[in-house]
Amino acid sequence: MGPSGSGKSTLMQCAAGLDRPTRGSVWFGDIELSKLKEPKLTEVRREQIGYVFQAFNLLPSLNAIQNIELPLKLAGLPIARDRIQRIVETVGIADLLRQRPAELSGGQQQRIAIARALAAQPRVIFADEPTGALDLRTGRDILHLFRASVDELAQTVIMVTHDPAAASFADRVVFLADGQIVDEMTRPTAAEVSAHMNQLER
Amino acid sequence: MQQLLWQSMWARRGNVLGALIAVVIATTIAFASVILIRSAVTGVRATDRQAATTFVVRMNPANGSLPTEDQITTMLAIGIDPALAERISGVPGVTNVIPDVQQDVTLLRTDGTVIAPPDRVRMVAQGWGSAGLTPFTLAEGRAPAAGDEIVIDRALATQAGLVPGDEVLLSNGAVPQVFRIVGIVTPSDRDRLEGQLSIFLQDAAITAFIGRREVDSLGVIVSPDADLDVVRGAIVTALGDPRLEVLAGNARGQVDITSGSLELSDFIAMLGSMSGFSGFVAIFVLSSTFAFSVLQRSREIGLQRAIGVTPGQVRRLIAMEAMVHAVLGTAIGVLLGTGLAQVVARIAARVGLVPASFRVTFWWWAVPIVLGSALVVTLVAVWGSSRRAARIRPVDALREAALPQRAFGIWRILIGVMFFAGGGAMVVLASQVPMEIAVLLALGEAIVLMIGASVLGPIIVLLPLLVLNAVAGRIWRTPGELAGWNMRRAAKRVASTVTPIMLATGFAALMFGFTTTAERGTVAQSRERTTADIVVVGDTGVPTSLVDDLAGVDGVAAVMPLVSAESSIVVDHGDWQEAFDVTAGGVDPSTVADVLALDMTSGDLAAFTDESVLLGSGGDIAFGGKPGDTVTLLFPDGELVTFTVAGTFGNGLGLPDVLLPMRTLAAHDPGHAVDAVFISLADDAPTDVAAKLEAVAPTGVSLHALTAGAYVGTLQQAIVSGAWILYVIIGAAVVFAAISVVNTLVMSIADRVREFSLLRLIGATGGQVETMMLAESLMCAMIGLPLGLGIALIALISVSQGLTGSVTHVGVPLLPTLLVIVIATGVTVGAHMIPTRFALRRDPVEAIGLKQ
Repeated sequence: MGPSGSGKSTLMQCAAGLDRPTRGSVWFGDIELSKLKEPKLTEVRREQIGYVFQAFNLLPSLNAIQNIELPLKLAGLPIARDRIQRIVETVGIADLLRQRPAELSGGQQQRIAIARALAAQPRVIFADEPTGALDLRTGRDILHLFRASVDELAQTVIMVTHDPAAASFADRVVFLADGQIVDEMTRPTAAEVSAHMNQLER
Repeated sequence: MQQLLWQSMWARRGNVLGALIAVVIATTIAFASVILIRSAVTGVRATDRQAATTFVVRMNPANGSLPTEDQITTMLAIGIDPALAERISGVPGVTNVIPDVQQDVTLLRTDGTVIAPPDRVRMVAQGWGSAGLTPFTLAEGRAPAAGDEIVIDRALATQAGLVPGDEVLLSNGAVPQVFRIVGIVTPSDRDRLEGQLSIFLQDAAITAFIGRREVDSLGVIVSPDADLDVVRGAIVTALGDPRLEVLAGNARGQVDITSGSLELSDFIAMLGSMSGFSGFVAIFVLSSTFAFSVLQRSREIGLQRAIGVTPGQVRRLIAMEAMVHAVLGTAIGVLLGTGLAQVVARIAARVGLVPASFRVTFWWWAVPIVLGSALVVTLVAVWGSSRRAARIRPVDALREAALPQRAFGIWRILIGVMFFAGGGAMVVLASQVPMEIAVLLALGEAIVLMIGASVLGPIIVLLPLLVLNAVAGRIWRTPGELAGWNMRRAAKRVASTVTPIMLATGFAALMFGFTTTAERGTVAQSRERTTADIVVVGDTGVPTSLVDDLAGVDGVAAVMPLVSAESSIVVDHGDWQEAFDVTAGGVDPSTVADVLALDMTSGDLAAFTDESVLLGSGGDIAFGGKPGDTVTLLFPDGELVTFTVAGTFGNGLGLPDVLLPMRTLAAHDPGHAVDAVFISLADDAPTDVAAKLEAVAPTGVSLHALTAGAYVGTLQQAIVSGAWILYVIIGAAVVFAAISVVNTLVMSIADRVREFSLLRLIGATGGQVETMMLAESLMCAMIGLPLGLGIALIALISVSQGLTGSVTHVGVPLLPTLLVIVIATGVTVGAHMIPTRFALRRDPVEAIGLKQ
């Protein structure tokens, strides 16, 4: 959480193995991500980390279910149909499976992206401004979904956002300013987050 | 507006460069073709052989009237009666009239070894009077004063080590004669003329040597202070025959073009087909390149619309960009095209299609012609897609969702179906019409079907893709499946990649296959037709005088010589006349049946006498000759001779178009050697009869007694050697298609960087992305190659049908076709993989737009 330019996206990308730090190291559990080279890095990422971006998440030429199953197939992992079914129902897209992204709304696309991220059962899901391109209500639904995946599917989600309301769904909020971690809050309300942000920006 | 245009082009400079390259190639080929054709049509530069003359007079039947006062256009070179020289020499201002005739000869030493001229240089015999045309001056010795004396040029003397006093043999197809060298000449400070080694006989001797009275032309020298227009007019009046052309200036060189044709008809024909073919490929390539590049800019256009550019302005921007391409491309193409024209001219001179003195002249009008064509093609190419592009709503640009694919227009489907139907109709038609038309139809079929295939491209590729998708998934698993899914959704893009592959392999297979099919048909028919036991041929033909000696060899039952010459069949349509240039074969009517099994489609071989002719397959339709009808032949001495049609024969591939009595041919067109002597042996012929036949040859002549099979083998080689022209044309087209494939792919892959990056971010390794692209490239090839080959095969069936009446001779040469397939596949794969490599180098996070 932090204002623009605070380095939150960069921090997340390093943590997620998408970027390499110039100094220091990144540990993902007991794997030193910052030392891994391709294709090992990609293999670790696809088996242990899930991603949801703000936009352009899905391959346009594949339909929803093909998008969801793709990371598993790329990794050569078996596709457990009942687990996928459960995820799909939880995410609420069971009747959209054969449709292509172009035929769906932004909110529906994000749901599919989340389902894809969940399908591989990663240890962590990284979400970069997942509700940034969505309207208030849809965004709220998405955030509830993340919350549900944590509560019901025992998933860990790390989310980058500048929206205090989104941050209020989290268990733990880490604040950044000017490239440094400056503070941390547990289970804050939106108002508390908002106030803290104002303070940081002064 | 201008600024928007330049900025937009600069931002997409990769794509713009790609489209520009395509335009440059098209304009280069177009410009080179135009100036080459014009240089050929407006005549060659005068050879310096006639440098001393002011005018040259020659016969051109196209100019005037034969006895019935109608125009006849024929390429046959007809000689002039040398007595006409007297009519001109009285004209005031004319100082000299020189009858000029040349013949290609073989020069041998007295022991029989041939003195061969350098590559692409002719060995030419002329009368001493012709030396005054250049002029040649005596460097050593004296002019020929007797019938067995000759003078040679310095280059020949040096090359062969000959000096005045030496004896040599000269042969023009008859038994070689002995001559003594009495002098050496040089043409104005050089050792020889460009392109020929010159030998001069005494004026009276050359007529006897060549065997006919007529000369090729009359060189006229006019005094320097005469009024040229007046003299010319007086000459024309004195000649009194409109068929006799008075050439001046550069046109004088036309008389030196060899092999009986008046203009550079072969060269022009080659250029015509090369440029027509390239033009066709160019239009295809440019259309798809531009349409595709507009399609790719949908997002950018949406942005433009969002910032306030009206649809009309969007269309204008697109059109302006197309025009910039056309203008810039033409400018570069003019420069490169001039160079290309020089290269082509040099190659053509090297292989003898044009005289060594042929020069390419720059023609300013070619620039607006090429520019205009480029503008038309590019503007038409963008017209359809620009209209669609202008209708993009601004909000589409702001959405990240993929823009909806335009549904396939109903008009496009109808047009495509129409082309296919047309192609099908042509196939049916081709089986009903005579040979020459069937062959033309075959080429048309291929073109029409390919147009249909590329118009309906996006639909046609869908079915193969379904099958290939499953196969790719089987072979390459997930990357393969991805490739298939991607391609099914991007049918238009796939179609524009597949089209050049189809074009290149299709035309290559058709051109190669044409020669192979014709060859097979010729060999099959020749084999079936030649019932002779032995066929005697010579290195430079069989001298006519030896035929009787061959007949006298012990064991020979019948002898039938075949002399090949050129003639023209003149058909009288009442108030106009038409000339068909044909190959004429002089044969012995009484022995034809003993050595050749002609398939008589009408008439009777028994009716073939000294007053009749036999017509080859197209004959009865093309010339209207049924048995009993009369047909009129024009010979190089200008005479029209009428014959009765004895019949028509069907299995004539490898034989001349018309068979006539040898005696008549020799009377009007003497001086040809016998191509082949067909011999049937008696049952009790001795075993060494072949050797005895060969022994009939005197010094300086070498004969070969071949079996029928071996003889057919030599025919095969003759066909193949003419195929080099096709390789040039095919090479040009394959290169063009390859560049088009590369262009399209570089542009489209550059556009898919985001897609690749997303793939990598969700877990695909670089290797998996490359495998996916490999699968895509192979699938494109697997669609394009069979399409091209299939269409070529359909056309070849028509060719076989037309040439031989049966479809069993269809064939393609294995090695060249395989080579084209390998090259096409290699280019496709390379064009996919190399840009992919570059696209993968980019940091996926940055490419997808996540970094600030």
